[in-house]
Amino acid sequence: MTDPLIVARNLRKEYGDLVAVDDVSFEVAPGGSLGIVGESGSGKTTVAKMLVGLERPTAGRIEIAGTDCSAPAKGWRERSRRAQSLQIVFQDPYSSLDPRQSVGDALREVLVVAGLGRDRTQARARELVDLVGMPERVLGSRPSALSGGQRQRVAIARALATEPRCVILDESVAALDVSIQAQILNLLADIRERTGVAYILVSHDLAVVRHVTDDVIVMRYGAIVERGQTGTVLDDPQHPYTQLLRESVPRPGWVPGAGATT
Amino acid sequence: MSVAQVASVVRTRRRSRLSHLGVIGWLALAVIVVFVFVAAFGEALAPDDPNAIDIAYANVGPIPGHPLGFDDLGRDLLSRLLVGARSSFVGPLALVALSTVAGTTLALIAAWRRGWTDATLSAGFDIAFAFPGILLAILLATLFGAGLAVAVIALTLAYTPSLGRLLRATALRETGMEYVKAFRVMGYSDVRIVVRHVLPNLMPFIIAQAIIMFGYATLDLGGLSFLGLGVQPPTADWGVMVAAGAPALLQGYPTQTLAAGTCLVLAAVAFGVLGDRLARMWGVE
Repeated sequence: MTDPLIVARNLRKEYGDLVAVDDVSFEVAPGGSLGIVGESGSGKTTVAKMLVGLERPTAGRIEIAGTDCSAPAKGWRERSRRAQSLQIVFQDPYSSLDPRQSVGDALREVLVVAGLGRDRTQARARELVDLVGMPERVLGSRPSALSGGQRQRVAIARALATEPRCVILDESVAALDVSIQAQILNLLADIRERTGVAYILVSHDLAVVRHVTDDVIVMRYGAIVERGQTGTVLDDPQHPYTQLLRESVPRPGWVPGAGATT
Repeated sequence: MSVAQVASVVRTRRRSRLSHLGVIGWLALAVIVVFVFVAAFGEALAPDDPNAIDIAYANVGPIPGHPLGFDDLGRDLLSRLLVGARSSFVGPLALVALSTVAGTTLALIAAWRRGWTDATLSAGFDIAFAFPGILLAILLATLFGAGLAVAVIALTLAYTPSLGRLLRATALRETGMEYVKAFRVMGYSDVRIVVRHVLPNLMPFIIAQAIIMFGYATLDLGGLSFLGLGVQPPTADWGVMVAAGAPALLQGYPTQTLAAGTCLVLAAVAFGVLGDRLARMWGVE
């Protein structure tokens, strides 16, 4: 087996007295995919923020592509180097793009910062919108002219611009309509097949996790309660909390007042 | 779409946006344009020498060729008003420019660094905000002598924290946006994120605030000149003229004070209204 791309060891994050993340460890293989499941407040987003260096872990170790990334990057050089390995797509498609910047400018800026020559950025920007299934004319559009789903496609294109080895999707489809969610999820699966990028998918939605990931960890109160292959864990949950999560998914045939069906 | 269609769409969009100014907003804009024009070309427009004294005409009312009459020293009032527009504008302009640059810089630093930097700057804003600008101006004038430069510096110290406080709150909201986090993960430098992304998104707010501030600046600097701490007589200046006309006011010759005072108030109101309308048009508060 090849060396893992991302290694998290005994991650812990405290905010004052609150322990948001408690002893979380996992690995992601190159081209692999990991789902992090849990309800709001379970610490899954905090894990994502620590991985990309937006939060400093209280304790624990993060290694990305063999480099120690336990603490947030010092200075933009290191930040920019890490950007080549790991990217993130946030939940809210309405605030994750600079409203004053056209799609083309946004993509070209990432490429220029990553050190691509200005003569090549235009062609690469076209490739990227094509990769996320959008017509070339959106390059000239401001985010305000795009729908939520289109914006999320742009955010995904932007995250993929520098060809990172792994992308974190932090509730990236949660704010979208179910039909748009399906489109984006298919797109993500397709991109993974074409580029070999690894995913870490943070979500409260079991159906979404099942659709995209091979492995899953289930978090509650900051700690991992169950882990394994996605299909196995979701079909045959061992931990009572995972069973509860699975049962609380609304499904057809549910009648108000009848309680949870199993 | 053809080029003509695109052009017409662009034109209607621009028209509909500018129509948000409303009649009052357009009126304010017109007043400001006139004031700026006079401030620029006042000397050429003045029918008479603004500093030529002729005691024989002291406090004489309007006569042909002198539509506003004369002041207490027999100087042509209209000429003094026209020439005085410039010093009544240059002062506020410098004041607004200085305090906008300083306030914006401090607010962005506070909002970007957060933590103790923000706490220290905010406390500084609050303390400076609590200290009246006029009092500070009097203090500095006693230390360094009266004059327009001292008055501008004193009021800059008073205006900077009030803009800084307002802008810090808005900048905090902007720097908390996910696009800022995304740019950090993408390896953008702090300077690039703040200067190329956060600042341009705050510009409508800053411009609207600066225009509103200009109105206050006209009044406050006029007030300082009135107190004898700003522009010094015999230079024609609206604040100086309001003060100089006060004795004549008691003798029943209110023209000088009224004319200069009206100009000051009109300018201040026009800038206040325009700033407010622009802020609403751009959707900022």
